[in-house]
Amino acid sequence: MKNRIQELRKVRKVTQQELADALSVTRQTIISLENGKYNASLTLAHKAAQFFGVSIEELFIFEGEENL
Amino acid sequence: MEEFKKKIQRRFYLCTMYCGAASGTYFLLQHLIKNAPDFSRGMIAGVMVGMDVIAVFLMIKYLMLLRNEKKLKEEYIKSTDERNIAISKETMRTASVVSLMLTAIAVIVSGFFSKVIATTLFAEMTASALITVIVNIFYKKKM
Repeated sequence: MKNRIQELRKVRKVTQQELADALSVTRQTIISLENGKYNASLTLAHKAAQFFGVSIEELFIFEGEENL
Repeated sequence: MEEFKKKIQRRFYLCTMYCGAASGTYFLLQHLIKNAPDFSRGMIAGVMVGMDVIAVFLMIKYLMLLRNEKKLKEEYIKSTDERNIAISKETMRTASVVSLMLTAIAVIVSGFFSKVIATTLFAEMTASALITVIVNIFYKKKM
């Protein structure tokens, strides 16, 4: 699943550590999310969407039947 | 966060109690198994001392966390981070499958040399498999 975390983070001039602190996760998790190595849970997706002030659909791009 | 602090405090007290109980048990065992072979006594001493060292190490770690709010918060994030949790779940799953497969291979190989070792390994493998099935059933009912 692709996401726009890196794009929105750079637009808002937020560092990975600041975002990690805001979402109560480690910086490594943010890096993995941005690289597409890890898919966020619904809770984390919700928190991230709230942080950026967008909807989950706008932040995460679902590309069909992944991991099904 | 307060809940996590209480959890760390509980863990600290548990480690302290464990250290006391383990030391007491060890000294009691020293009297009870006076006539046991040296190897057995050595094994018991080794395991007890090893576990005590781990408990002391954890006690120091928890004490440091309880005295430093910044480190406590870092530890909280580290332990509740969903990627870390996912990694440890995946690690446990893969490790248990690999361990079972290797034990199965060991059962076959040791069967050529020693009946006792092969039977012991087979019993261990069966117990591990049974525990896995029971835990799986537990979580299927829980979730």
